[in-house]
Amino acid sequence: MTELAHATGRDRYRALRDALSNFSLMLGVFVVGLIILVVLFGPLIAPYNPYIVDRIEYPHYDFEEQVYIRVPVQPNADFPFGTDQVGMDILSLILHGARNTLIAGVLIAIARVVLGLFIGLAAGWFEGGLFDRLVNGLMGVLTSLPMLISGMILIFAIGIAGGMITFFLALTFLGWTEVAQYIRGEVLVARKMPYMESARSIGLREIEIAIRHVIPNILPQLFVISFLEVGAVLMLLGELALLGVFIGGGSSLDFSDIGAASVVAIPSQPEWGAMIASGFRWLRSNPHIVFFPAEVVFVAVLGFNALGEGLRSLFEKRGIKTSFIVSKRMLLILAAVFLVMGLIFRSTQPVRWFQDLAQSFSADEMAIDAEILASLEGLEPVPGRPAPYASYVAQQLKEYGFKGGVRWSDFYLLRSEWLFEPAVTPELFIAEGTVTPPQSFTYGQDFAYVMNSYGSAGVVEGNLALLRVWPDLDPNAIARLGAKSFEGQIVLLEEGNAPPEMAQAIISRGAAGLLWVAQPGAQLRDDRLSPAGLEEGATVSAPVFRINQATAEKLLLAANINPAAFRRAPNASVGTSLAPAVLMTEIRLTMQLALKEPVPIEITNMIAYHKGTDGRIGDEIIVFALSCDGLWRADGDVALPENRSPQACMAPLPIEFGRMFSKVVMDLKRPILVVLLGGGEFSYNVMTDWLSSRDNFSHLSAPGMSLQPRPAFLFQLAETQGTGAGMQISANIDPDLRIVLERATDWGKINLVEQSTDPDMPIWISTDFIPFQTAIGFDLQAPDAKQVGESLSLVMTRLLREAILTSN
Amino acid sequence: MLRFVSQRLFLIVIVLLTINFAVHWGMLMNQRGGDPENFPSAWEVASEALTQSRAFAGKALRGDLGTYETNFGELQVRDMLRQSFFASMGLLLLAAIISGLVGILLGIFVALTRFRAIPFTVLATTIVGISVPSFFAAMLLQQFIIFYFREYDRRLLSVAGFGWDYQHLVLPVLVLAARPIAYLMRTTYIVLQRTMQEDYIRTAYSKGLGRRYVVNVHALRNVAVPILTAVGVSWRFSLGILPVVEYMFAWHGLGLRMLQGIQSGQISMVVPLALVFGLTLLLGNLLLDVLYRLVDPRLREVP
Repeated sequence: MTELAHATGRDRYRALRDALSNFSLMLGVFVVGLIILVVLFGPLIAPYNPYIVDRIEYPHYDFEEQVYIRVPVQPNADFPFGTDQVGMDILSLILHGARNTLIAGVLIAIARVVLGLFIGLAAGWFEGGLFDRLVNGLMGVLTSLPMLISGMILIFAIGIAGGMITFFLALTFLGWTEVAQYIRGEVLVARKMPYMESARSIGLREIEIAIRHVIPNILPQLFVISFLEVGAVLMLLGELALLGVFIGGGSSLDFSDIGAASVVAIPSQPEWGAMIASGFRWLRSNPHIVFFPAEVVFVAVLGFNALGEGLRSLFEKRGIKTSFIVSKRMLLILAAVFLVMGLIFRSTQPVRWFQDLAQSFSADEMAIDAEILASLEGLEPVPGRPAPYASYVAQQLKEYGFKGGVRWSDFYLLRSEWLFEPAVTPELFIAEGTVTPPQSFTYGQDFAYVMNSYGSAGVVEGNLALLRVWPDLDPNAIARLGAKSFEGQIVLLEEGNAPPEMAQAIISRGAAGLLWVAQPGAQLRDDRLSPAGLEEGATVSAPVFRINQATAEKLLLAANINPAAFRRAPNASVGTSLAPAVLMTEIRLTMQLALKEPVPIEITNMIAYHKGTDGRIGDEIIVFALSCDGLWRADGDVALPENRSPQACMAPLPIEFGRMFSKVVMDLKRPILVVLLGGGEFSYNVMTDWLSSRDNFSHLSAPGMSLQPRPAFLFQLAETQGTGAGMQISANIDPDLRIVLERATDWGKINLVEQSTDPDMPIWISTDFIPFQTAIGFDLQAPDAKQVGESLSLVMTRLLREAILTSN
Repeated sequence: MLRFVSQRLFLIVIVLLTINFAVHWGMLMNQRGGDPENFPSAWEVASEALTQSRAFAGKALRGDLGTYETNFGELQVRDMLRQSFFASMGLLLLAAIISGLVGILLGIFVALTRFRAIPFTVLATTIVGISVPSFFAAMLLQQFIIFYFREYDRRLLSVAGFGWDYQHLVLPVLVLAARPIAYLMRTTYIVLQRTMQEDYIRTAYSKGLGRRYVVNVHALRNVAVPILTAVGVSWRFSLGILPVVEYMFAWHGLGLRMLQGIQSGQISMVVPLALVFGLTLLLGNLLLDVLYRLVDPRLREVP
């Protein structure tokens, strides 16, 4: 017993001695250990924030050192590795980028090994079978082109804008063959071994034999292969980067004689490959920009190769017991290691640096802009010229590098509309006799009128009819309506259920009037604008009212209809399209609307555009739209709704973003469109159509760019009376964007609600276009202005800089 | 043997046809887009690629390889292929010969030497040699030339450019050959050293045979197959980094043309170049397989 223990002790000592005298192994362990430390703690020891450019703002002569200092800064005491061409600290970039690069390398290598292991096992086990032959054929094709070339083609084919996922898919798909070939060979050898025969003879199933006898024999070599594979992947990533293909990048090669359009992408996510790619143009004049990232790639490759080779020679010399790898203790240790790594990752993630940037959002600066905008109140605009508030915003944005986003680089889009104001208070009541007691409703509280190109004035009386469409917003509902007549009826329909075009269809079928039931929580406001004036003696005169939910329910109750039953589909076949249901009631309603002579007014919309730096995602525009009431009307002819601040327009917000982004000098990768919509007090929403028409973006593409810009993310800053801090998102929002929003709002300690009915949510964010329903303002004096601003700027920073989000 | 070669040639043709289709598909996938509403799916692209690759194969069999666009108008792909093929092959063969000679001979020398310090140093340095990214090596060499020129006002070699003289050839060949040399040396050393400890070598010595005879006849013939495999790997590797080397040294060969083709999205350039790359690699493999069978009689019986 003691002898045996003694023997194991000596055995261990020998193993240790062999390992220590193995130069490759020691080198590998040292380098890889160092790399792991950098991956985990790199961001903590980095001397600077790598996301901020222009470390040296002005070129100057340093008299002490007697050198002329300008970007790119040569390595010196302040910047041990120098700075790159836009003034980012290279050491910090390398320390931060280690994470992105190495995780990519390790993940791809692991995926290759795992895929290769299973394919190799299966192919070897069923040698000569169909699967084996298929695998052999596929391997023959995959290995017939150098991986650098096939990798490039495949990455571009999948779409380089996909970033990490694209690289993972492409390089894994191309790279499993070596592992599979090796494993297949090993399995072929193992199957002929005598112990396989004995295993089979004691009745083990095939799969058990594979797990118990084949895999343990392959495992040590699998470790070796894994480490070598990491080295190979890192080297491949470096080579691809040199050719302009890097994670999160576009392309940056320039061939003058072929005329290939080239876009130089400055890395915004620190990544070694990206650094090599973007610095390559400065190779001759400032080799340090490429040298340091290339060197760390070399060191990392060296580390993993040395570790692999060292392990190989150790295993060959000593052999190794593989039982410990699958033991419970080992699994526990692994789990603990991953847990600790996860914790460290969480606390040092790159988002922290975006958060630092977001904190430079200044509510004070925004308040100053708000004051200035407030001082412009009451200034009558000159006809044909943009409103003063819009030109102030445009001027500020122009200073921060924005250009006009309307065709011909114009900032303003003026639209002429007719304003219809009530002559006497409009009325809506249930006529006497049909219901006891008779009910009437209050204008402004229970209902409001809608012009919006199809409404008109008049006094009408008619039976209430209910219309319901299945499914919601069915685009074919009008066609399914057929030639149904609504003669002498007042039709009630719900926003969000019937498509907006339904209104005209019903009126043209002879309806006396129309009641739109507003979405829950929506503000009841008159839609007083219409692109055309009312023609004298028009044959169609059907007033259109918007009523709130409570009013609608009262009407339904008066008609003895259960509101829930009304909304339910007629039978169980949910999801199928049905003809719109029309339910006649005996309730007689009266609508009264008398209008003053319409007044022509001009509404200023301002559209500013900032072109991103990355051509590959240049088609994904972020639209930042906010509706603004015409501030000049504050003490004028139209009364503002009660309890709202005259400074409640959100226009200072994009100005503050512009100031922030230009001050921190970041490159914004995605293009952004700031849209300031006038006429907020009229629930003016013609611009929604303008925004959703893609023709209006086509002129924004840069010359030589084949991509057609399209709005990918829409931020709608809506108008509310509240001062609450929160964001509201639409239900079918892009899942990636949702994650970004959740993190940002979580960090900013503000609410994020999915399509809520809470009127205190000032910001509406979606990836599709929904009509402006509610509109602005969190009070700028509120203490949460900074919170909201910071969260939103964190979202904007990430959206503008990261290529990971695509909304296809 | 003839049957084996003809079988392999048939397989090569199939692989080439697949490359033709796959590269068409990849390039077309990259070019779709623009209009998100009319975005073709991968399958639609595949059917388009099938049509195009068939058309290309038909034309190519009739000798018409098509044209490609440059700033100076349309040029013949055939001329480009011929010119760039010779440019690249010159580099590759030079690198292969040098790395083969230097790597294998050094490996043999190290395995047979009696100084214990040499194998250790060699193993350590070959690991470094295998791990140096080619672009890093190229960058260092270029920087050295520039540094030397600045300090001593003398140009040792051309930093980049095309030419069949030592001025232009040394740097790219050196970079192309660096890793194969390290790899071949390492493999030769490891395999030969292990072989020298085998029983049959001891038996040969005990028969009274001379060291030279034992090494040449017993040891080297037995390590020929693994070394040939290493040569194959080196050949693959050289072809693989060819684009990088040609890009770094502005050498107008297959690799640089390939990059130009991919970047400018010219299918008419990329597909023939990919086929040439594939053919070079596959024929290299075939040659090696034939050599295996010549060297090792045991392999001949296996069909």
